[in-house]
Amino acid sequence: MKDEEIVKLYWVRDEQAISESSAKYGSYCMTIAWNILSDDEDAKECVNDTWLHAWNSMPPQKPSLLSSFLGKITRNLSINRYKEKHRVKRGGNNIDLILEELEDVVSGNESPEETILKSELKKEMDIFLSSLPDIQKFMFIRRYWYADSISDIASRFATTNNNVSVTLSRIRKELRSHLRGRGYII
Amino acid sequence: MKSEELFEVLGDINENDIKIAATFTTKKKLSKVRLLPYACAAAALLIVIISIPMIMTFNIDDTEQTGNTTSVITADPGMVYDIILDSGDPSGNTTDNSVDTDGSPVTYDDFYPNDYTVPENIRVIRADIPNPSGTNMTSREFLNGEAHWEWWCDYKEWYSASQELNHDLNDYYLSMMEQTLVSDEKNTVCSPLNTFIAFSVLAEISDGNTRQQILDMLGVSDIENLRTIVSTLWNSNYINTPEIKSILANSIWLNESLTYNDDTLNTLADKYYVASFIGDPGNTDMSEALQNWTNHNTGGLLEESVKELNLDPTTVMAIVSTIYYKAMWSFEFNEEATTQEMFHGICRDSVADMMHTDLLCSVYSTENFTSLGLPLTDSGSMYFYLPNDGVDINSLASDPYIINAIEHHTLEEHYDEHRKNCIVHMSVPKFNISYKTDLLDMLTVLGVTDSLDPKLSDFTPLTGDADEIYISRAEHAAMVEIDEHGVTGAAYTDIMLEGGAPEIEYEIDFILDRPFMFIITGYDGSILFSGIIRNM
Repeated sequence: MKDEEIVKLYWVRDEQAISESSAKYGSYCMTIAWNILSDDEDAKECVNDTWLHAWNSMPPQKPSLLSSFLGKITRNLSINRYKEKHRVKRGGNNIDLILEELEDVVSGNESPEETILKSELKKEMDIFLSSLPDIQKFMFIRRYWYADSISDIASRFATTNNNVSVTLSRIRKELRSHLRGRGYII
Repeated sequence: MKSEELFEVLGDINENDIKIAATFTTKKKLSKVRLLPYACAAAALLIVIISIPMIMTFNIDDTEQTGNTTSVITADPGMVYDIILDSGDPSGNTTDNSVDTDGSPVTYDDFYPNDYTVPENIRVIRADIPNPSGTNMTSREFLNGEAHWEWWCDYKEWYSASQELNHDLNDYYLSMMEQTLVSDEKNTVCSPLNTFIAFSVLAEISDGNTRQQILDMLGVSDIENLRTIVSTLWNSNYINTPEIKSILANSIWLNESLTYNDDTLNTLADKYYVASFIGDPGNTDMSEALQNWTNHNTGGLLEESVKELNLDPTTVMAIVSTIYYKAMWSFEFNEEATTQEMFHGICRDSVADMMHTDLLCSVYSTENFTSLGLPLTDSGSMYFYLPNDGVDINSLASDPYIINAIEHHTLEEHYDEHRKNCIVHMSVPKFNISYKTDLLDMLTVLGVTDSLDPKLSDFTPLTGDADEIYISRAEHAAMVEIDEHGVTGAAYTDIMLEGGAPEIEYEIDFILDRPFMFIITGYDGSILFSGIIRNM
């Protein structure tokens, strides 16, 4: 079924919307959830919750890119689930490594202006990403949006694990420099 | 901020990028690179000839010295100084010489800027041009290795600086396009950047009102500012990697019987990357050297035209500026999807090879045109402009909104009311066009008159040997060719097949089956080439 037809089903409150979403984007969302949670049961729950959240969001929302819209819901749910389960300390999972890597970019301190910063930060991220060459840009997104493992990225980009790690490290350094250059200390 | 929060913020990045990243892979793309290495090939050439008046007696004694220059030059009375230089090939098809029989380009992998032959009787002062990046590497090795990152980090500094400058050059770009692209029925193409750099060299060798008129045409306040601009433009648009060729080159061809101002020649070499060739312009060796140099720096794309380049014995100076460009689409057309369709030209309807693709992209619309840009790997984009019904294609050449349609990835663009993300079903014809323009009329229209008049011109920074020298010839030739070469089943097409058609609120057909305009930009937004296709 085409995406616009699935969106229409949500809008007319037809529950077939959920089964169609699950059939078309179930594995896509499952991959995102599993990359973050590294746990089948937790990942399945987040994916199931994704359809519920989509049901509650449409209407009023009418996403132009359904895959990204659903993937984003799954991602947010998975992060929240991760936070709940790892309040005390982190383990050695894939997502733990990703968050450690992102510490290269952030200060780790609380900031009273964070609410304002996050909306501006989103736009700056887009500007930064648009300045990257394609391969580096999509490598970054695969790691920090899809939470892919280093080896999966290396396979996708036909290169070595070491090359991916080095490239990502450089992009993080560039990102930090980009944000600081524009007055953002995050 | 904590890393978890940054991870959350990253969740809101551009949805198009997320979708493309879902299926982006370099495997197929890189395996094809060596076989089908480019999607867009272009070259341009600008020649300015400075000579002495057509009929005169010219006798300068070596006791007449001006500044750093001394010379003895004698010309016969009554000699006709007619310098015939030709460039470009209006008949088209100039690219055959640039490819091997298997379709691979001869010069794609490694290009050495100073690797051209010069006879011993010609003295050469080579420009200090950067070495190529990623030599002896395939595209895959380059893109996946450290060399690409190192190149990009250096390059980023240049294009960031140049992005700011380009806003100031827009008036010149528009003037240039208006003067060269307007036509009744011919296909026209030019390289605004190429002409800007060549006329900048001309400004450097002139003085007084002659220089001021050129600066006014270029929209630059003074010569120091011009030097900074050209240096920045040059560095942000000179790219020589296994993935892309954007080769800028400048040269001056000098008459050995004259003495030239060393300070000026040094400035040309330092600030404008100008190579100097000194010899006897009446000797065939000099003309052959000029042809070798020009062919080398245009990748052979203008080879047929270059054969006609010959210097005249009485040339005081020839400025030759070139640009050679080859790049790949970031998201290529599916070669198997190309069909033969009717193109409704101004003169006639004709059959064209029409390439097709579906893509998600930013579409810029005004009451006069709709446009979108196809990104080119490690470079800018090629923008296509389709006039709305009833709008004259010629009017686009001077429409300031065509410049606004060029994306610079700024915050302001997020809020531009003319810009909208759309699902686009695009069809564009393969084409190969070339065009030659006499720029003397254009110079007059744009207020550059003194340099055309031997009584008023002032080229004393070049040489004090010869009075009453003037521009006798200024010609610009350019060619552009595009095709679908690249990946079969490109990333965007894959996405559309796997993800289905997104919501249709912003879905358009963009069918270039009637006259349209195009602009090819560098990463910094410089207008490398622009043209209007009227017939196929």
